[in-house]
Amino acid sequence: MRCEQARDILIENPAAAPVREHLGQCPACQSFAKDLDLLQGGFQALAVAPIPEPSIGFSTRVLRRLVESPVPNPADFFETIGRRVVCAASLVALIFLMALALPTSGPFRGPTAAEFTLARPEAGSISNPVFDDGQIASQDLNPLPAVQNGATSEP
Amino acid sequence: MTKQAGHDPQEVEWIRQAQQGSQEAFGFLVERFQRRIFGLVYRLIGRRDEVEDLAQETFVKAYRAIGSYTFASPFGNWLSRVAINHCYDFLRRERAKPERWEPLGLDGESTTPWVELAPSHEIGPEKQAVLRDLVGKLLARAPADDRVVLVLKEMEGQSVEEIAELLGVKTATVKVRLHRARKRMLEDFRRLQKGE
Repeated sequence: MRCEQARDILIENPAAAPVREHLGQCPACQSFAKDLDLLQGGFQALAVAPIPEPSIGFSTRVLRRLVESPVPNPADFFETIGRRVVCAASLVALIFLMALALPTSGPFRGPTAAEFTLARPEAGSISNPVFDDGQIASQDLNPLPAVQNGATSEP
Repeated sequence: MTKQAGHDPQEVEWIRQAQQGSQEAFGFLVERFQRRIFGLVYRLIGRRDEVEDLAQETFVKAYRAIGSYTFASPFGNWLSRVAINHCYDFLRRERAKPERWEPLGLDGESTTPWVELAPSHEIGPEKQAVLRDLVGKLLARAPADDRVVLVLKEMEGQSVEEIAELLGVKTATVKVRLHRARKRMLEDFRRLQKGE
């Protein structure tokens, strides 16, 4: 049996029979077993050592603490949460209203689409402008080749 | 068989009343279990100056959580679990602080040549006290996980199964933790003997 194995067994059960033979021929493990025994003795001494008693009036002080820090009421919790939700919703509504109230032009806004259309009425009336050479502008604007029946139309 | 089987009827009555908000009834429960919780907290923390506060906080926490007690286990065990969790938190907070434990050295009575000590059952009361103080100091330096299982097993005399129930873990986990804790403690003990 190897020392490591013997020591693992000793830690589990110092009186284990399988390690006795090893202990008889291994001074290092004998020393280990002796220390383990001393440690166990220390634990036993601690276990029987007197424990301090709660001081007089301990339970009264516990009850006073209960009064001083009462249990949080679930109703209060929901009230607090509800108040926060209302505040957050009001803030969002306020931001939305402020956005609507912004001037439609000026340094914070560019010209609206309506103004742009009014300023250039011809632009709004032409959906598919045809240039002088007869090509439809929208065809030129589409860079991708048209796909028909799964085949790419090559020139 | 009811869930409360095996419980003292008076205790059940106090628990029921405390669950309905009676602080007076909870006060009776505090009276009944204060010594047990005080002892457990003292052993887990090892410091007299902190015990009173931690034990009080344990009972305050227990009162707030008493609605969740279902009589599935003895009330004392449930309270102990609250105390252990509270002490765990405390020990972790303490660990997070800069090193506060006094360095262990072979000073004063601790200069006892440990290698010359006889087996623990043969040593006299004086050396037994030295041994107790030394193991107490080693325990105070141990990680929280190690300390909790060692205190419950070696000092509170709980079985592996009882510790598993108290900590809410499997018995195999408790066995592993115990083995690891004893091994570390012994290494520390031997290191101290060699004066390292």
